[in-house]
Amino acid sequence: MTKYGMLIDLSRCVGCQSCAVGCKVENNEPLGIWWNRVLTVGGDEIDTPSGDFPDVQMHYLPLNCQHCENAPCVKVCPVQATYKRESDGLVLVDYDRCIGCRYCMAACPYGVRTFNWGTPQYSPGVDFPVGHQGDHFDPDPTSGPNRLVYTPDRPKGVVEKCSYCVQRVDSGVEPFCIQVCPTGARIFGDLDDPSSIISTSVRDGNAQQLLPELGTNPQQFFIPPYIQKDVVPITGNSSPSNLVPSPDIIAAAEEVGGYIPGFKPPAGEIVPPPPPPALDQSTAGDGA
Amino acid sequence: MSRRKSWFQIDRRGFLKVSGVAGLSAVVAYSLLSQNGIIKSILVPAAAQTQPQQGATETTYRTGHANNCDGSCGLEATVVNGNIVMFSNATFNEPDFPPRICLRGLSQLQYVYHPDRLKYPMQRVGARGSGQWQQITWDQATTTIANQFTQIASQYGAQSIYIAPYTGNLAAINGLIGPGYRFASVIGASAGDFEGDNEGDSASPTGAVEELGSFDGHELTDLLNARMIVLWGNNLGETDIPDMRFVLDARDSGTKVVYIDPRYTTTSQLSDQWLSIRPGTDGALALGMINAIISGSLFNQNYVTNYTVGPFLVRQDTNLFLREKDVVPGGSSSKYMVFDTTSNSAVTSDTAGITPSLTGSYTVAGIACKPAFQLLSDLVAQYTPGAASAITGIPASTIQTFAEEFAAANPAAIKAGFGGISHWYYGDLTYRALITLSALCGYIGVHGGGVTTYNGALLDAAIDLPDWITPDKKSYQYLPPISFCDAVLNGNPYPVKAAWFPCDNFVNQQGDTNRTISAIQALDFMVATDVFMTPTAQYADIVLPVATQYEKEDILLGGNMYLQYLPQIIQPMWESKSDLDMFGMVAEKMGQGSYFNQTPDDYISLLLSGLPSGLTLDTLKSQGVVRLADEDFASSAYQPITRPYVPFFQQNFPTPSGRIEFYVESLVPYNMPLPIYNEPIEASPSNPLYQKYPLVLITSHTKFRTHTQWNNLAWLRELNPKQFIEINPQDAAARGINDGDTVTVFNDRGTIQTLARVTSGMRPGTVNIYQGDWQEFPKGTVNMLTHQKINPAQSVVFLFQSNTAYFDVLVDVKKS
Ligand code: SF4
Ligand code: SF4
Repeated sequence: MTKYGMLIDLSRCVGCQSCAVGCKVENNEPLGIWWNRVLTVGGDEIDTPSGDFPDVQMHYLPLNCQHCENAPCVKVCPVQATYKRESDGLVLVDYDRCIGCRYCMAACPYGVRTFNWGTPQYSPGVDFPVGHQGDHFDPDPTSGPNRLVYTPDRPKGVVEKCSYCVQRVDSGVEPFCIQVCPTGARIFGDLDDPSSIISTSVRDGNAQQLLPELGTNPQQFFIPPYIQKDVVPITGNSSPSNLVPSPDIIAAAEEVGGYIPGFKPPAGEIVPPPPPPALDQSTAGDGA
Repeated sequence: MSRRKSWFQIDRRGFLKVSGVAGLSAVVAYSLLSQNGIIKSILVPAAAQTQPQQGATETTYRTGHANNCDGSCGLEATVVNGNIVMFSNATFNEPDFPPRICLRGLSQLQYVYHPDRLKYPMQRVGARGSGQWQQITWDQATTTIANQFTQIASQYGAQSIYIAPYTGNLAAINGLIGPGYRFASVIGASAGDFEGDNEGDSASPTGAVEELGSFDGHELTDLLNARMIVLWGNNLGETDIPDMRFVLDARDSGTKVVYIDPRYTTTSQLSDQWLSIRPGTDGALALGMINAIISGSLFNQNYVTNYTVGPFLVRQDTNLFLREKDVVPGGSSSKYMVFDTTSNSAVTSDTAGITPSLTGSYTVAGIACKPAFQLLSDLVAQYTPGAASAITGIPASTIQTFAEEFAAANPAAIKAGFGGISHWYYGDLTYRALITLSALCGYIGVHGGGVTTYNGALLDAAIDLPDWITPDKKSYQYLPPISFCDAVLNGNPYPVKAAWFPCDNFVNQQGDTNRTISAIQALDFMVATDVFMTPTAQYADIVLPVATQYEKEDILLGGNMYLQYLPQIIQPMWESKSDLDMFGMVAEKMGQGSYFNQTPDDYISLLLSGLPSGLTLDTLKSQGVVRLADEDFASSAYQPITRPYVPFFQQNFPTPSGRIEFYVESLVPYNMPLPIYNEPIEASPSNPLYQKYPLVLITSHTKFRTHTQWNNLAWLRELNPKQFIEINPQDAAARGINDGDTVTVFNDRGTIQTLARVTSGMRPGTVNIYQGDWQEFPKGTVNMLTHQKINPAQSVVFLFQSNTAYFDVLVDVKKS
């Protein structure tokens, strides 16, 4: 099986909000709605530390849906609008089925669900949907038919949240926040594959889940914030000749497996699920 | 012990807060360096296309962000039904330079389709600045401009017309090196410098040109070769955000990152060491380090002897270098004398087999002399780490250790911010002190070393700039922006009567807003081209709507080594036009139309024709982005081009002596041949004004806009709704100020109102207001408090004049 997860390396997160703004664009989020927020862990306001000068500290915590294995939101949804997809573990909301009761919002321990109270308002002057164009239906047959998991035309009175960019993942493309994070702090991949980068990174990076004591078992992981190297690392003498150039950066980068932005996804890494089955009224859920 | 609190224990009710649970010890800092490439390869879209790709409904274009953050990111624009629906990061087609973007680039479509865009030409009908306008046609607007300019030129001379520099667009034919200069040249008007020094950046380039002959910086990827990176006054994680990736990659592979900034910022939390320094005293820190390095004999003697002016004898009478002609009748005036300890005599520096002395004092032909290095040692003798500590507020032991580590790092790279270093009255001296520090350790011109502010190609690309901006050798009269007000108000250096501000929010951004406004009000005629009704456009007589960079064709040579093609993606919105078109219309009506009657492609090709590689526009168009070929760097004339790009790689310096000149002869009249330390001109406790205004006001750069641009984009405003002043709890308490209070910030030049953000990340005695906001002009305009004090010593370098010392400012704050 595939189980998609996300890992955020807080030791590289600059708190720039690019992932948050990128999320807004790709998913045409109405004004005031943020599926992905970058929180400051520190002082009372964004970008401020705790402590007394100069003994202060701060880090950032980007927060989107944790895609829990044991998702409280799924349990409380009376109409199965919120559901966990079997093929890859994404927690999705069916816009057509959501009745706006907001039980899921109360149940979510991470506060990542948002609600459109009124008619959604979009960017001033932008009279067309931005980002992903068109509706997207869940192609996983086990989800049931006609699951509207993305629509740029956002209904009023419906809960919405991060879907790991299901509309991109279903065509083999990583979530947009992963693509745009300027520091490479975000990783996406298959947690069920023990050799995937995300799996090895979760293991080697001492990655943690949020609120583990709740037993939600999120598919979202975090590498802890940066710890300053407090040992004086630099010793030794200047070499006599400073005119010897260091090795070419590409060689150096290759040595450490550095930038290989890899514009071609390796074959077989992601198998897009089969196209959605034809509509069959007889098996449609009764909650819509 | 960990300095961090546990971060994953979170109180459910207050999700934003960490709990007070005891420290998470033994957390391993984990390097992602080795995974980056593979991570990216898991799931990524097909390679960005350089040509428009026709899909069923979508077309994508590769462009670049011609923005004055200097990031020059590659952007991919997706167009559906003629609308740009998305901007994302585009490839550079090179393995070592990943796609890059930030929140500002991602927000661009809110800029393109902003309802407040200027839609048609307008003429002022009420009093200047009253906000009363009448719509006119392009023909009417350009006829009025041409008539006014012609009349003013005949009355006062064409140089009394000033064309301001473009800082709102870093592109070539419609931007920073754009048609404003060409227009000014053909009509004989004045124009500003490329730096567009409304941002005060020119002190750093001035210092670099004085000492090294060039302001060129290292390519970003070269940071991976450093064993220590010093982010000196450079809040990289908030300003050039994508550049921070390289620092983090270096850090995660073992490089120590030291960050010098009065404030605690996101860059502090990601660095190994954060040194909070008293604002404006960076030069003293560098001299303290030089002191430790010289007294500990940690400097690179061989390098100092062979590649700097260290051994050159300096006459004690004239303070100039002792030249051969001074000691030998008929001797050369371009040969410098050194004292050779082998022959125990003064010889020219190019004599073979000598051992020049760096120290001592000598009498040569009756002239008392000392090697420049001795003079530097004499200067820094007073800046022991203890003395530097008293000035900077950094503990002496920290300075000593920092100096020792810096010297041992071999190499260490200094990345200096424009803002942090350059926005001080003596910013040029500070920059020179940094270069001197680096040079003593032999880090100039080597991989992983250097002092870098601008890591771009623009400075060094051999494009045919002269034929573009000064056609037929017609040239504009150079007038630096900081001299604009003097010219208008006092006729100094000559009267200026009319001005055109193209994509330059001068009124908001120049120091001393009140003075700027009086100069603007004193103009006979003023034109502004912009996308929005900015504070500058508000004062114009004619306002012209400009097409955004996505609505016109251009090329971008910016803050990296790449040349990017900027296609016209959509038609100009409303009645907006390209800069080239509007300057052309006015030029034609002034009888100079022949200089503007070619196509954008022709002018781009003209610029490219200077490149020795023969790169054509067609090639650039088909590839979208190309890395500058080695021979296309102007400096390839005297050095091999390395990758990553390293300036001065051959240890040749375009200075008068060909060496690193930490002793600058042309600054002898200013008593600044050495990089001396001076207290800030205003923001110093030694200034009597400090009794009245005891807070130093710095005006940093925020991630939520670039100078004044993107200030009004809804997404960024949701994240950053209101302007504020950052103040330490101690300073706030002393004034009865609470977080969120409306406060008045004031000094003798002006008063503004803003909100208090009380934060322990702010250094006591210092306050910060992010510059560039114009939401509440003039009530919240921070430059009401800054000044236009001109530093004449910065004018010895041609084309760089005095900066605006934006940070060198004292204020006080009170509850409103
Ligand atoms: S884009 Fe990356 S660095 Fe910026 S806030 Fe998001 S995770 Fe952090
Ligand atoms: S604002 Fe600067 S860093 Fe951000 S996308 Fe534009 S060029 Fe890149």
